[in-house]
Amino acid sequence: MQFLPIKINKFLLFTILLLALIGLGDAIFLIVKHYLGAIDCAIWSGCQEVLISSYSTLFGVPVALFGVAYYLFILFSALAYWQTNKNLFANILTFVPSFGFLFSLYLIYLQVFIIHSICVYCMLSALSSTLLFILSLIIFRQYKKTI
Amino acid sequence: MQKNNSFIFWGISLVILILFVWMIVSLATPNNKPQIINLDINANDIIKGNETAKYTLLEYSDFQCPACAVYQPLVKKISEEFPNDIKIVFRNFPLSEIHANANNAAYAAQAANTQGKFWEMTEILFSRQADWSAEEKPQDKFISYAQELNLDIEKFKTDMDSAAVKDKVSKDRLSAESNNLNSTPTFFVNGQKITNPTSYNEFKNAIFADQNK
Repeated sequence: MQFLPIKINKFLLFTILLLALIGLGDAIFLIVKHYLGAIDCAIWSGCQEVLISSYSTLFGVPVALFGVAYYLFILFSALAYWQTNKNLFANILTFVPSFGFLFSLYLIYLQVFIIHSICVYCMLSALSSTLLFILSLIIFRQYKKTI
Repeated sequence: MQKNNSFIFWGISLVILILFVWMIVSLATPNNKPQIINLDINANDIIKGNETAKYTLLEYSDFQCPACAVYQPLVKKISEEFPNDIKIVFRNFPLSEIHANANNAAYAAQAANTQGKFWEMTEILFSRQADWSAEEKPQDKFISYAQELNLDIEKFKTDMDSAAVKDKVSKDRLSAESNNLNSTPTFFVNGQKITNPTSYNEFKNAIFADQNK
C-alpha cells in the first residue's frame, strides 16, 4: 500500500501529543464517572444526565471507551512517527482525525438537540478532537504546498 | 543501538502513560472526606417528621436538578417508613447558574409552604420536572399545580413574588455555600455528610450507620 510522503514538524507533533493526552485523560475521567454513577448536579460541571442517559453507551460499550481507544491510537501514532518517521503514521495523523471530528459533531448534536443537556467533560473531548482535526488540515496543507 | 533506543523510548512513554492514567483515575474518584457541619436548624427550616427524632436528615436540593428528582421518592419513603426516628429538613440550593427555573421553582414550593402544602408541591415539582424546566415562564405551570392542590391562588401568586419567600430561598443557598457545597442533592445525617446512595437500602444504611457498628 502506498502512503503519501507527508512530513510533520516537531512543533505540530508535540501539539498532537499534548491534545491526545488531554483527550485521553478526559475520556478516562468520563469512564470512571460513568461506572461510579454517582448522580448529582454540580454548579460548574452540570448534571450527569448525559453520562447516565441511554446515549452514553453504544452497542453496550460506554461512548467514552471509544474516546479512550481513539486518543490512544492517535497518541501511539504520534509517538511512533516521532520514533520512526514512517509515512504510515504521518498518514494516520493526517486522515484519522476527520473521523474523530465527525463523531464529536454527532455527540454534540446528541447533547444539544436530543438530551438537552451539556456535559462539560464531553465538550472538552469534542474540543480536543476538533483541534486535532484542525492540526490534520494544517499538516495536509503543508504537504500540498510541497508538491 | 537503534533497537536499544527504541526500547527506551517506548519504555519511557509507557511509564509516563501509566502514571498519567493513574493520576486521572484518582482525580475522578470522589473523595470521601468526612464533612461535618453545624446543622443550625432554625424556625425558618422546613421540617417533616418527629421534631425530637434521633436522626436528622438534611437535604440541600434544587427542584430543577434531575438527580434531586430521582431522590425525592426515596426521601419520601424514608420519612413514611420512619416517621418517629427521622426528621427530614429541606433546604434550597437552586443551581441557577445551570438551571434557569430553579429559583422560581423554589419560590413556588416556598409559597405553597405558607399554605401548608410544601411537601405536596415538592412532589409535583419533581415528578413533573420535565414539563416546566424548559418553560420561558414556568410560573403559569406552578399556578396550575397550586390549583390542583386547592391553594388560595391569589395568595400563592403574591407569595411567589414576596420578599419573605425570596429571602428564605437565598438564605438557604447562602447556608449551602457557607458549607462549601457545590452540588445537589447533598445529604447530611446529624450533620455528617453522606455519599449519595444508589439504592433505598443503601440510603437507610447510611442514615442508621451508627446502629450497624
